[in-house]
Amino acid sequence: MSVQTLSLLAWERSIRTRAQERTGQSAQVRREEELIRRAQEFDQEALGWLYELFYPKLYNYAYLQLGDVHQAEDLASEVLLRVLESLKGYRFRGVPLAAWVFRIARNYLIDLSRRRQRRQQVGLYEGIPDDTQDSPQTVAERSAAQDEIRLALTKLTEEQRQVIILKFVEGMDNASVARVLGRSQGAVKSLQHRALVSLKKIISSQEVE
Amino acid sequence: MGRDFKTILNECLKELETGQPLEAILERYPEEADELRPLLLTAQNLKAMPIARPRSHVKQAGWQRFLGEANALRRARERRPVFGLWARPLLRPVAVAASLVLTLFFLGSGATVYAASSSLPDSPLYPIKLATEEARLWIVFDEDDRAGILLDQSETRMTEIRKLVQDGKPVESNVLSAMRGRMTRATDIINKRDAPQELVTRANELSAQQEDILIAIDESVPESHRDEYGKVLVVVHEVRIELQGLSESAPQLDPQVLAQGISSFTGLVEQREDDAWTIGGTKILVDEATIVEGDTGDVIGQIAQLTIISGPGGPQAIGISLRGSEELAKTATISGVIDKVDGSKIQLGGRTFKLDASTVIDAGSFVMEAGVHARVESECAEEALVEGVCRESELVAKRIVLLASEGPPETMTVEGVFQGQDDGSWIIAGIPIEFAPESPALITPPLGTLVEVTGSQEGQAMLVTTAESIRPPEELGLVKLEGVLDQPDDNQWQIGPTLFQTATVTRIGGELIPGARAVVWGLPNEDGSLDAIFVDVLDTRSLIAP
Repeated sequence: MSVQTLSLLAWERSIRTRAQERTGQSAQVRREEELIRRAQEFDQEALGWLYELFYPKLYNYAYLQLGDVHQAEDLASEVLLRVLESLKGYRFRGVPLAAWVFRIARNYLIDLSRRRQRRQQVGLYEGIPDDTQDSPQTVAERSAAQDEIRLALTKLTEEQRQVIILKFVEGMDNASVARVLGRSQGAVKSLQHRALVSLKKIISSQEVE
Repeated sequence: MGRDFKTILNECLKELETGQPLEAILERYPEEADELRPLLLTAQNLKAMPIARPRSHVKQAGWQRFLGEANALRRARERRPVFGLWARPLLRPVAVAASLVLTLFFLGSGATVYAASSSLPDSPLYPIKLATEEARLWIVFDEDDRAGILLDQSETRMTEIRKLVQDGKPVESNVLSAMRGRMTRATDIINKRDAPQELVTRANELSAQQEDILIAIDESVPESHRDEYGKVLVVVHEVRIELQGLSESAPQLDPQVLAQGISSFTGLVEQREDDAWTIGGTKILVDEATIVEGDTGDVIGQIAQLTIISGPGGPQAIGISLRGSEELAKTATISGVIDKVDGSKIQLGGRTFKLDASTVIDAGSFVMEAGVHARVESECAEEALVEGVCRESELVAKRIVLLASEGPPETMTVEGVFQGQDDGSWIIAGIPIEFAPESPALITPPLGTLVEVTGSQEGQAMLVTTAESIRPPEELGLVKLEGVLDQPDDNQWQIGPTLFQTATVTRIGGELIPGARAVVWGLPNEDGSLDAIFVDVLDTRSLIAP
């Protein structure tokens, strides 16, 4: 079997997978729509789903950009309270809820950044207090990897950093990223390209140092 | 080719997302492969990057806040009913159903419910009492009102515990768990919202009283109920920490450690470090779960009364009460036979003491009734002192310990700070002690000396047999231990985590028996144990069931 044949087989398999995923996604979207409706009525189970889904994501999103455990915790908490306050006005229009939530988070971060500049605050960059059951070695390795990426991310432009985090860390598609940034999908493609090129260069230079 | 690089990169990233191998993707774009490879590898590495995980307790605290906010928003959205459910047409069927259930409940078994209302936890009717209380909450929709009722119910559980203890009955597990459940639910409501200050204050005061009472009944709780005992003690302790805003990161107490036993340790604060205080030469661990009451500014030189447990790292304080010498002077301890118990008053040694909600009764399976030996720690309110003497009706019993003592019924002991003389009577902690004419001549001690006078009651006077001077602990560095005796080996005794040894010079009142309660004054050794100077064994037999 030639290499070309293998590639075609892989391609076919990916098409089948995508079709199955689409079917699964529509069920997932329906479920999400239903949970949002219930959360709008303050159903505790639905609120619990919302909190469990987004708190860790928002924390990670914030920690990568702020490098401060406490500020990341504050952001996750505050953004979810803002989400709660605005949830009644949310209308499901095909774009995942995550795009709406992260748009609020990004606006919060921008406000925070302005406040920090005014107060000339600097990030404390503490280590992450880890209350998981992982071994100290695993915790240390994870922390080192995060620190390297986080340092590189600080050298990107704000929009490039958003694209990298939202797309490759939070796993959003281009439509959702575009919604968060308030840009077109074409603009997101361009940002994605420039961000990856810049990040690659920064990480290479960090490795040399 | 006609397509720009950023579009090709985007397609490759999508394919990578679906799990296709990097090399297979690059083969389809041979011209761009070299440029694509590092970017796709970077994207792959980003996806494999470990994620930062939030701290679970912070996440949990955030959830409580989130839920509290959701409840507040929900309430704000709902038009507040003027007359509860009846004012809301959609909920009227619910109100009708609730009323019917309650009506049937009361009509169908009214007599039973009535009988249950005064039942105690050892009664078969007690579950009906708890269920009736629960039903009362069905028709209360205002969160503040619910929290208030739950606090009332938790306080009722505390009263029931006191009644069981006064009657010499074991403390049942059902009343402990019901007290814990109601306090937890009340404080959940209070914590989730901006509750009125009076509700917060009440919950705070109630939890402090409950903690005192629970600590006092330590040895009255049967072995089979000690797990529940430990749990409820943890809840009331942590409610105090939360509501007083003492610490946001206090470590959680282990109910099993609390269930193992608690003792009291009093002495002079000599040193204060972040994680330990040295009291009378003994290092006691403190952390953010330790509640410190009193003037915490300059603690060195103050008298500290500690509630201690045997923590994994050594003696650990869960509560510290700091007292200046002037406060100590207000407390008198009188031991003797109870003359009369009358509702909220107790008569002993010819004096009447008021009982209030804060009075702790340590009954140790004895019934609080006339004829029983007891030790009453009393205080006089500042405003009730007239020229240094307390108006008798204003003596408040802070703690009553019922004793398994079989000494002569007329014997009584008064312990307190000597504050002077008044027409031949000694004033001890504000209480005038008149001596019978047959009493031996006594040497007047210096003002401020802690004295213990023992004798028999002759009407309002006292026929003195012995008078001891126990110098104030701040002068000698004495340490006072209170709790249940244990004997780990032939040469040493123990109260809680603290070891002590007796010598021929030690004055021992009563017989040292493992399982009996005792008060020990001693001098600390370098190894943290005490050389006992004075031991007062309060019971003549072990209180611990074999």
